[in-house]
Amino acid sequence: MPTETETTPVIEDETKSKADLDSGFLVICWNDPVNLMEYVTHVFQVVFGWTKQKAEEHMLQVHQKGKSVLMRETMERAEHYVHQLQRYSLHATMERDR
Amino acid sequence: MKSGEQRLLERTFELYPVMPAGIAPLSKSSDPEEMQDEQDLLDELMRESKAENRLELMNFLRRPRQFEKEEDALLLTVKKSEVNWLLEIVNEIRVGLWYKLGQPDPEEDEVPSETAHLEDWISMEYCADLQARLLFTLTDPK
Repeated sequence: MPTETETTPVIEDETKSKADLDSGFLVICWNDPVNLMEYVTHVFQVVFGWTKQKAEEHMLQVHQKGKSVLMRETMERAEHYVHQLQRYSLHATMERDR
Repeated sequence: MKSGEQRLLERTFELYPVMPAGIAPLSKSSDPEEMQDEQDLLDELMRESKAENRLELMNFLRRPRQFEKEEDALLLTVKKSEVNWLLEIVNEIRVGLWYKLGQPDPEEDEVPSETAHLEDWISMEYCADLQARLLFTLTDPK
């Protein structure tokens, strides 16, 4: 009887390294009916150090399209920015860039 | 400002922080369990920064000569370096009250009939006015 060596395929656990997790998160600001447009522009300038023009472009995107992707960052930095934006009571979240 | 406005400002600032806890998720699309640690950290950071802000705000109100008499009005002194911080505070109160009042349509200007809600509504509207004035100082710092 021939001996058969069974080879069981080894399925590696889908463990994600920190680098994988840090592959990219989008920092998004969502529209809400309560924050003033000038205030949102001001916050973008303070948090990201943007020019008024760039901050206004993103503010208008939020206002007209419902959201604006502000940054693509590592998890840690995205968390930092979301914290900053939420400190100013803006509706901001981080979403994995798929 | 008039002394009535000073009372309104003090009463409004006393409300800080107003924003209900847990209203701001870190992520909309991620599995909440997957990001629970990060969410907890964010919540803690928010609590800490608001507690710190509240302490500073009370010191701000009690600062000597904070409201100086000038003829028949009172002059509130805000240092240039405090404008951004004050905007953060004022907007937190305003947005927090907006949630507390059931997210009324800002365009409609509907005055609530209940007294408790009326006080919150007045504070919310006052914050909008104060915010506009503070934002104006950033463009015209005279």
